[in-house]
Amino acid sequence: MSKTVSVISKNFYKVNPDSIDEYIAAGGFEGLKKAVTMKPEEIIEILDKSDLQGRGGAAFSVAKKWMHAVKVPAPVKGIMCNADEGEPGTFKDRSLLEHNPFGVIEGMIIGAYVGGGSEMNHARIYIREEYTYLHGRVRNAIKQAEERGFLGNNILGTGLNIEMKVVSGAGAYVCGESSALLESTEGKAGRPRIKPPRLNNVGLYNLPTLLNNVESYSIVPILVRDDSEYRSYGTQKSIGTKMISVSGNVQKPGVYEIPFGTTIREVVYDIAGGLSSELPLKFVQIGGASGAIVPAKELDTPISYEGLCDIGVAVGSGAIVVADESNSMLDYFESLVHFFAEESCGKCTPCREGNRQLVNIVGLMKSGNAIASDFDRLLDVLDLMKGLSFCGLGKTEPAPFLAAIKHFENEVRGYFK
Amino acid sequence: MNKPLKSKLEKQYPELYSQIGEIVSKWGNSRDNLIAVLLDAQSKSKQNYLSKEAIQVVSEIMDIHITDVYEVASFYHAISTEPRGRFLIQLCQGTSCTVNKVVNVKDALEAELGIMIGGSTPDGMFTFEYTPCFGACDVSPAMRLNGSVVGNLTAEKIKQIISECREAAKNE
Repeated sequence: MSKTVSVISKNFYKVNPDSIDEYIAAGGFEGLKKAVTMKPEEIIEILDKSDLQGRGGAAFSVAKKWMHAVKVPAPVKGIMCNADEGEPGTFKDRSLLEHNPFGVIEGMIIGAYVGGGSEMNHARIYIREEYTYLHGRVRNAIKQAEERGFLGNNILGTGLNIEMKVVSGAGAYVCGESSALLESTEGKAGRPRIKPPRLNNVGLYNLPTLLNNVESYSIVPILVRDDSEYRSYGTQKSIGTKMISVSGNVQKPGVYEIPFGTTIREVVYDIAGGLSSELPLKFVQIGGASGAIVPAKELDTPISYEGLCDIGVAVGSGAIVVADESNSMLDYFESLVHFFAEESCGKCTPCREGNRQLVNIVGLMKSGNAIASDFDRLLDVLDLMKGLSFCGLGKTEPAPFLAAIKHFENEVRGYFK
Repeated sequence: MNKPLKSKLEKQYPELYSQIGEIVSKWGNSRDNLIAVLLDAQSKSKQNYLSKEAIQVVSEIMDIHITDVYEVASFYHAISTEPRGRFLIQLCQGTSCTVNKVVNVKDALEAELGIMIGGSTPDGMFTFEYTPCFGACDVSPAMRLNGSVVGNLTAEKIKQIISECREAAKNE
């Protein structure tokens, strides 16, 4: 029996993503039509009942975020979709935009209905430059939605007004951070803003702004229309399903939708077809480059908020990178430090200088010149970055290193003389 | 367009000026279109980059301080302020590509191009660099060739791709 499901991905390969007619025929915009007959609070209640958490990685309650939006009334608001999917190993938002662009748009319109203003609201889908091949598809979807009156003035006779645009990123991981994303949308360098004020008070163009991830928006119309199927999956504490991206040393890398509670082992061996080599599995990294390293002995951990939390891991973006025994921790470290050193925006000292130190230490490990005191320096730098960095980039970066040191201590220590 | 009545830049670089003027008219000259304008202006360059002159022209036409324009141009990976090859090869250094031994692809490219990663061929044909994960992990190891994703790379495939590039350049 297949261990994947299709609730969020229901339209994948079945509904032409360039045709609003096919989307409507498959039940599209029924969620929106139902939503506009309800009070905003009733819609939030539905999201809360399924305990929908942000799918970009931070896992903040969508219902709480939307409730904040209701509590900050303004005539014009920003409605943002974060499609700057930059976590290495993550490509599920790419799939959602590719196969179900109207679902994302519908979710944003419902978001604007709940948390928008009475005048023309500004909605933006910020898509990373690396997905330039999807910009046209999403722009086409927006155009069709405008033609059918789902965007523009007085949507479905409710008085709701939205103008929606695609905004291109230009290659910067830090722009996945919500305030950096807004800076970039405004045509500036993508450096995170000082908070407070929070974005729901002062966001895009200084307007109160509602910002969610592609997957979060995609789930909203499904829940509003009929949440019974979604709610039939998952565990008691993690309701529903999750889009995951599986890659690395597996037979069938790809994007899959799984019910929460599926174990890592089931994902690797049953869904992704097992390893692509004869070698045993060494570790998986969950949640992206800043996610923790999980050793083979913990493969039976269920992928759910509570299951992963028990082993000190977060669901994050839903990325699962699988590595077999041919991979040394050192090579993996090298990939990680170069990524973060390149992507640190340079605004705060702990992250900027911490990354320079990490590159230096990994360089010493690689050349065989690292000594015991460098190991202590490594731990110090990670500790400082975790505690003192300005934004999530530097704060979460130490996670994979600390987990690798915990689970592969002998191997890592072996690189230091 | 907000160009000054007598623009020295327009006299100096008439072609570039009208080209960027068209791009700005297409997107609009408000600040939030700056990144889109810069990306478009770069795509018109035969050397895959944004020249100092182009930055000056964007600054004048959009009425944004040149330092601001340069800050944005230099902040993002997708925009280069240095000339690059006719073919831009960006190899993914992400975690998935690393475990799928992208290092072998790097070696194959270095051998085929005769340069080390991070450099350009002397004839200006190829620039070869590492790039952060671009979300093509399902076909790793992967690279972007002038922005398009090419995946499941092997040493043989590299040979074929590079010879196709050389062939295409000959026929231009």
